[in-house]
Amino acid sequence: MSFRTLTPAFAPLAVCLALACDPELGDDVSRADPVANFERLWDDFDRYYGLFAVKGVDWDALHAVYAPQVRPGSTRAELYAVFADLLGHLGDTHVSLYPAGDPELPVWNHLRVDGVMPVGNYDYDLIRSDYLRDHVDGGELVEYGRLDGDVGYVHLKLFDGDRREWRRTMDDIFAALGDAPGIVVDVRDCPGGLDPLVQYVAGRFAADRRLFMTARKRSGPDRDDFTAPEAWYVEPTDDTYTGPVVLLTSFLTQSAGETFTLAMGTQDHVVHLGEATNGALSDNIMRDLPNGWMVSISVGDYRGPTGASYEGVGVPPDEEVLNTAEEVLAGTDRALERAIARLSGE
Amino acid sequence: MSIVSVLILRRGRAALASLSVLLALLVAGSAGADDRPADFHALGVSLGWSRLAVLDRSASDLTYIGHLPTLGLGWELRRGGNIFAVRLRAGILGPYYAKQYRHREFDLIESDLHGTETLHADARGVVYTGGLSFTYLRRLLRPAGHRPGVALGATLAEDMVYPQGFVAPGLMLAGTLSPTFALEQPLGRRGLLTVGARMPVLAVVSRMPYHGTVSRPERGLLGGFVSQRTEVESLGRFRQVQWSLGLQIRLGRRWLGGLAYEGTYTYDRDPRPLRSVQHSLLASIAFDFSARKGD
Repeated sequence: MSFRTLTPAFAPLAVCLALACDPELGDDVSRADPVANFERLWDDFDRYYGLFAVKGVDWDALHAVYAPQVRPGSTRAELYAVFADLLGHLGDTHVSLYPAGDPELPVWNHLRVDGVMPVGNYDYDLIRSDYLRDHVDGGELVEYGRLDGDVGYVHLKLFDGDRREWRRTMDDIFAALGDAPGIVVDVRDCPGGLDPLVQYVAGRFAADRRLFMTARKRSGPDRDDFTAPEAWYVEPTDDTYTGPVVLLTSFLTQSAGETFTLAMGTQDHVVHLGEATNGALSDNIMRDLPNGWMVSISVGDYRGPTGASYEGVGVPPDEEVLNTAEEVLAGTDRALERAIARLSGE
Repeated sequence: MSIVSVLILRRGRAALASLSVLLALLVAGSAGADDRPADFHALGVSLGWSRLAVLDRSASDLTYIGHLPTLGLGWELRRGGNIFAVRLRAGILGPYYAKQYRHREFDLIESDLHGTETLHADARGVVYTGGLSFTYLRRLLRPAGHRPGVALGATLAEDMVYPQGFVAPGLMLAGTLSPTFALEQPLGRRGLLTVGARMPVLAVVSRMPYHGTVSRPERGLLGGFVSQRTEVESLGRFRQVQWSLGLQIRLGRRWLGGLAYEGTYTYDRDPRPLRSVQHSLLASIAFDFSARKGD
């Protein structure tokens, strides 16, 4: 075989060899430059954050205040402090800064103090040991059992998984608790999950079809670029429980835990007790910064059925019942006891 | 082969170049033989490694790298003037990380009434890839003796990149229709070198919407993803080039061994530009249903 004959084979081979080199994809950001990192963070919020209007935040004015505080020689700790001050104006628990690769710098959000979230006056171990019988551990998503007076208790921990899994779980719960005179649904430590699962689970407690939320999300780089609002309804789904229900929330009830609160709140047989929820309802996304840190950004504008926004303020209960740390450590969950009393007719 | 595989896994790009040189040597070493092993009807499996590089501005301004063990299943009929091929390919559970920050970690401190707990988190994720393709090629010039063959046709393909992690760039489903070119070069009595290329002219592309979330009423994750942003795109918005270089050696009357390099460059414009490059190295074994007497 001559060289000329082989040429058609070798020519593509040469092309492949050239392409085997890692291509430059345009990832040309200046990684360590504090000024470039500040501008990227500010710009990412400018492009994606969905709550400037709701929060009444003038993002341009904040740039004028904080950009001069970042210099080419700023240390990473100084940059972290400026980011914390800037993002603190949003008062949004869904906005967090993850200084990955800098172990001396803690994860930041506006509630954390030195990286530690405030403690909720709630202890599920206490409920399980002192209040609950016929306890069933449903894994990462749910636990349930019976309280005094045969009242049912359902602890929804996380709206994760898929609808099929939740259908099976809710079938099991209602098989166990369907004859209860009432059910306490406890989402006081629910950090969130997926809203379509919220819609499904709330539908298992629904008697009527009701609008519980509208959600619009950023659709472009201008701050008023939003998708059309999408309506979320709760309606009776599969077999339902429509007896008396008390929903318990706390300030640790976040995100999908809060949209669940909105959904349950539309039903006439549901009473909402405890503390207002956290006030971080919108979906959020994670973005990288050039220096390797990550930041989460709320991209939506979620409203309740009346059009009110609960971002930053939380969904208020029908009846506020506040536990104290001393009570809980002494073995009393006052909010739960109030719920049992309501459902027992006491 | 095993030495080459180890090199691939450990040395990445260097191994890609080494394999290419090896292929070239095999091509040269086979020169001078005189037969035409270009027709067969085979079902085979392949095993290999892929490297995926993604810059998806809609999710991150950093380039992400994935390394994937890759499995494949293929059926191929080369007979007379026609070539038919069906291929299924899956890259399984490869690590996925920002190129410049392979080991990004942070501590998350959780607290309750009884104390605090520090959770150690790794900002890396995982990535899956997959693809199914149907190809028909018409031989315009049939390979004979030392003469290469040329074939033209079309490929219908569906490809997926599915990352999971703190940041997940590159999520995409793309159904494509591509004009396809192939060159076949017989190498002696037992070898066949193939070079292929294809470029879609029409694509149905699903990517994350601008806001990067999938939550929609009464829809699961896949339903939310597909329903929000699936669009028919042509060259102005979606550009992809796929190329391949393969060497097939007849190991006996019924069996074919193969070695292949495949590459894919993808660009998608909206909602923000995505560019990715994937290189794959695959070793295959195939059973030939049409083995000829005397081979």
